[in-house]
Amino acid sequence: EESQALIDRVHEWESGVLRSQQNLNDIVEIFGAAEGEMLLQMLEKEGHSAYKSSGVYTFPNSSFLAIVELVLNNSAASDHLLRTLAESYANSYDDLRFYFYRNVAKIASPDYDPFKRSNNKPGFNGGTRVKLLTEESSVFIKNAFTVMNLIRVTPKKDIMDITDFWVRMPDDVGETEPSVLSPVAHKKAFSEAWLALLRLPLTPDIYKQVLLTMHKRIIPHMADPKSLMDFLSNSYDSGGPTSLLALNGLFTLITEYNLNYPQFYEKLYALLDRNLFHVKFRARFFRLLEVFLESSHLPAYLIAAFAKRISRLALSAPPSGAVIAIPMVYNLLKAHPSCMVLIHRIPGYDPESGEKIAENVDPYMPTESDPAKCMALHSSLWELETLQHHYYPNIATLASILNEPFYKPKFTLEDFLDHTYTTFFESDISRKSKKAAAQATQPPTSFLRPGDALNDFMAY
Amino acid sequence: MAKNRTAAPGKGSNKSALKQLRSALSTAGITKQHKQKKKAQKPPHANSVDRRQKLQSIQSSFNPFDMKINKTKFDIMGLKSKKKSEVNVAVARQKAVEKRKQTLGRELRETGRVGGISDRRIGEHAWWMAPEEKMLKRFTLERQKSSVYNLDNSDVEGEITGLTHYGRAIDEINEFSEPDDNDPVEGERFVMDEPDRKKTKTEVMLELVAKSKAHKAERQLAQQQDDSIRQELDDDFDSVRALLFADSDSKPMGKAAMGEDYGDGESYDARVRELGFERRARPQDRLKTEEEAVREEKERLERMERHRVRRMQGGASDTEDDDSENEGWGVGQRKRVPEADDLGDDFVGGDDDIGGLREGMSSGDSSEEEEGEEEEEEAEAEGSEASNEEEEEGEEDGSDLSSDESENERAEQGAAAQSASLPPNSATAEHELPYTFAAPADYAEWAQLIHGYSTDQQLTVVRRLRTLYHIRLAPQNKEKLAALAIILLEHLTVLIKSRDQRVDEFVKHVGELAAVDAERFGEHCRQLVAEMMQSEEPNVVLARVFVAVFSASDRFHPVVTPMLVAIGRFLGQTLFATRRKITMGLVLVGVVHEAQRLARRLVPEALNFLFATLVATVAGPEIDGYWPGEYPLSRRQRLAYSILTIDGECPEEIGPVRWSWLYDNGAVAESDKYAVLSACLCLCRRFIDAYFSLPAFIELFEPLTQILTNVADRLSRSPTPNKQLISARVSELQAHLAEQLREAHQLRAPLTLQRHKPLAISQVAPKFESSYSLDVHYDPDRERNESVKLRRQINREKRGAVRELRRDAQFVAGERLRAQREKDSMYKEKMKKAWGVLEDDQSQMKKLDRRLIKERKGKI
Repeated sequence: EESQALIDRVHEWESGVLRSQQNLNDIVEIFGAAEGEMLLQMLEKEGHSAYKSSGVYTFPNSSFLAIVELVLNNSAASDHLLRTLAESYANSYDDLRFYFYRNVAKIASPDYDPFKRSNNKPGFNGGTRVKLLTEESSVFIKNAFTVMNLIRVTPKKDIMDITDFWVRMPDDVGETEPSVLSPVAHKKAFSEAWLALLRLPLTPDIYKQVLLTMHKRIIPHMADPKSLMDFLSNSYDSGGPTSLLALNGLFTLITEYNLNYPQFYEKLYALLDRNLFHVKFRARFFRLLEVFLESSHLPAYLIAAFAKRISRLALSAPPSGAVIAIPMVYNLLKAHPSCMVLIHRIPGYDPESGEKIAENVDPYMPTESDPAKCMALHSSLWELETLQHHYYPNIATLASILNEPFYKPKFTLEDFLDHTYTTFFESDISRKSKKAAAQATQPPTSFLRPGDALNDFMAY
Repeated sequence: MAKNRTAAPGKGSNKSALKQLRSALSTAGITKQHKQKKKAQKPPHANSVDRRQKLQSIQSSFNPFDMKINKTKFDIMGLKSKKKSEVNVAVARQKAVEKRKQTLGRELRETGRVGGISDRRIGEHAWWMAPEEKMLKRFTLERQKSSVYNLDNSDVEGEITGLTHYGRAIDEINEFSEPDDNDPVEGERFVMDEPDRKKTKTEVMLELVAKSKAHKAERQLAQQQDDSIRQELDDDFDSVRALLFADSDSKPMGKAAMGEDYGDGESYDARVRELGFERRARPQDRLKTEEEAVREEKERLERMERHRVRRMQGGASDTEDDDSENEGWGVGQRKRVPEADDLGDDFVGGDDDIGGLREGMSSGDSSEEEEGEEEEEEAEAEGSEASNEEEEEGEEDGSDLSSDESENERAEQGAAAQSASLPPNSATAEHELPYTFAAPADYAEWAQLIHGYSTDQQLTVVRRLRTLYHIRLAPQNKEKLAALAIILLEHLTVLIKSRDQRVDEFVKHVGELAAVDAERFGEHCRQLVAEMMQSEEPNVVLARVFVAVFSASDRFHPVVTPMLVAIGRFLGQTLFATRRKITMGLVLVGVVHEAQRLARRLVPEALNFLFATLVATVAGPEIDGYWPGEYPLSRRQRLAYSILTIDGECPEEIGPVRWSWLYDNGAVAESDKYAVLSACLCLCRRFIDAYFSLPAFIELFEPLTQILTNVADRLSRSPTPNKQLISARVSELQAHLAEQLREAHQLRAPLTLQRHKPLAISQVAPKFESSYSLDVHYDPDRERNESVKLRRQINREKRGAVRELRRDAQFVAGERLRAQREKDSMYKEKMKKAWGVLEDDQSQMKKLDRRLIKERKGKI
């Protein structure tokens, strides 16, 4: 009796703390220290007493939901706070993590209405929470993503591993096993939390980050990875850098979860746009592109279309892009010898129909979006031959491998992916030459040479 | 031998050994055969040596233990080194023992022996050497030894080397063997030289006499020949002389006249004397060497400075002789005046030499320009009123680079800048310019040095510095001039900033000074390029100068290539949001064009920038709309470019892009947009021409057609009255591009890059060795193969070595035993002798004793 009374009083205090606006920020600020610790301590006591009274293990989730909501909806939540929540609690305690995921899913769900929540503690039904969720959903998304991104412990696969509990787990759990002990439930909670989060309108920054880490940290631990398909397809179809990023997740789904994606190569072809060699994630993209085009069962026209498109883009690409394009095309040609006509075509001979073709006409259609119709196989890679005259000597040398017999089995594309202007420059400037820099045979007689291009349009 | 082999005991023969021997002997013809007994008494083998050999071979073939037979059970295919099937063990063993006796045995005998004589004669004990070999070795050593005494090893011809006799080489004496009566030893010596047969004195004397007679006859013959030649010459001389003195000597030529004339020796002498009075070529003044000329010029400047200082301090000037000297510096008289651009290295002489030839040619010639300057400088030095205007005009004539209108503008601006930069008392400052300066080590010192001087004076300072610290004058001048080159490079940026038109002169100096210490200059420029990369904006002036000074067409150039990377980064990654940046981009594209003028290498960033800028001028309000072309473009860039979009009227005249835009942060005026558009058009045309030869010319410039159409459209829509100015240019470029593209389309052909032999299809059939051998290792792993070989060799050698050691030990033991036995037998012999003597003595004694006893008995 006494303990019950005590617990009630504690609840009152707790709700008082949570309600009072002026306290909120303070709590949030020093979370992880005294009061935050105390709140969670309360949680533990509450669970314990509930067990004592009823003999059944229960996690006091309503209180925890309040805490989670409080933290995630607070725009002033500091990095330190979120980090503490993730690293000191969610990472360490299986039950906290489990319920955290559940709560996030609950809060993020569109039909979540805090008023309807069955709660015997009227103190929680303040009007603040609704306001927070509707007006500052971006705050919630940001905080939730930050915490979930920081939770490094993946859902455990074996029941024997689920051993760390914040609310002490009694030896005798009663007849019905609590869901916190089930690995399946853990996985489900994780999936639902992420799916709920991804359904919200993400900011571009978070969107990118999610896509960047998705294939490694989310997909493998989902209960049903295919449920991410919609999200990924939408991202892939949106075009631009987002598509490039979505490709990674999509790739994982296709290769490991048997996802069938219609019109995949058409869309992939469409991704090769004029900005491709200039975006930050080009290395990532080309890594995947290499894998997608690796199969020897792909038709020659498709490979030719990709090779031609890549070379066309390389023509206006910076050196860091051209240096990727050349080995990429080399690998394509090497793996698909039927595409060698792109660099070596006996004049007047059509490989398919055997008809005589006009020599000085390039049938390639650069604006055609369907690789099957762009006639790349009937064209030649003049672009790559032009790169043999590139101003950067290494690229010119690299491009001249197309003149050599194709002895080299394959280029490791990875060696070429991470170049930038700076790396090129560093390698050049650090190159020590024994000889002095060669000077012009005719020393200049004036600042601008007579006939200099600058004389055409510049004046003092 | 083969015959004997057949007679040797085979496996299948059933005869007894005795019978076999007998038959063998008889077939060899050693034993007398019964059939021949009656016919020939003499056996066919008279030669006993032959007979012995035959006997030996028969003997050896009949000793079964001498032969070691290697039986082969199977023929193993592909075994390379087959062992001999039969080896004569006895012979081999005997050989080995003989060899050991020669080597090991000798060592053994000489162990423990101290001192003695070591025989170093070549090949004396070398049993392994053939006699010829020994002789050859001895001979070569002898030759080498003889050259040891050859103290004079110099290669001077005609000098006597080797041993001499009375100052003559002995070889020489041997060869000609001239008789020398003064030397009584001579004859004897020759005799001594020939050890085989000693000649008698009479013989020698006879020989000498014969030789001297022969020589005499030879001399006479030579003299006769000389005479005949001289006679011929004299004959010819007459005709030649007739040519020489045709006017004076009109005698008819002929045999009779010749004979007459020849006889007249007096006239000949007269002619000789006459020739003596001929005017001789006078020796010319020696041409001054370059160094002397340079030194002279330096001294002149120093002297003038001394006088100036003296004048300044109020002392009397002793310029009389100097002035007269100065008068002598006219263009016509001076031979070789070191000019400002004289490096004294490679490109020195050319100017003056060619300058003379070019006198009638245009005034644009640099050497003449230089001369003109020099004159002006002289005029300044003398104190005459050389007006600035004149000089400027001269300059302008010299550097007639740009169109007339810009020329005028430049002149105006230059004058303005000049007047601005000059200190108030500049009119007198001209006279106060010192003649000598301390060489500046860095830019600060230089700035101090030229403080208050006009640009013209700065140029004079540079010229004087270059004369004073000419590289030929002192070795450390190289360093000073190299420093000057770097200083001037920095000064250039300042000059461009102040819009000074004398930049050309400075660039010229930089270009020439760069070669003084190319290494240091190059290294410094590399640093500057590194700075360029680090800074947001590359230094366009330096970039342009580097392209001019360095060999920009190199495939890899330590300065230009990194610089192009830096420029590429700037053009590709900068947000062109201000007039300054756009101007910078345009200038850099111009620099890129200049750098690729000869090599024509593709710089995608330049084209991208050019096309994007071109589109930007007419893009219109819709930022995110379709921009034709393949160049990459971000939304941010499109937004930034919107400042260029033309939306106003075309000005009366489309001006050029100003250098000053690089240094102020002015906003883009409406006329500036047209200037940028016009600049883009100019550059596009340049690049069309430069890149026409590239295989992907069509792919590169096809988008430009679309862009130009857009530009033309946009211009035609705008209501400006003066648009003709620009649209004419656009349509001109369009026509040019269309023409070039048409030509390129005609030239287009499919690629045939893999012209070499087609690659063989890789086979999966096993590799077949036609001549497989067990001894050859076919391991494809080369290293493993090698190591296996090596291991086997080691094993083989080890076994061999162990065997050798064992045999050696056996031999040594045998030798020791033999020696011991010898010793023992000698001792035995000795003892035997001693015993013999003693026994003899004993017996004598006993005999004597017996006799004595007998005698005694007899007596008794």
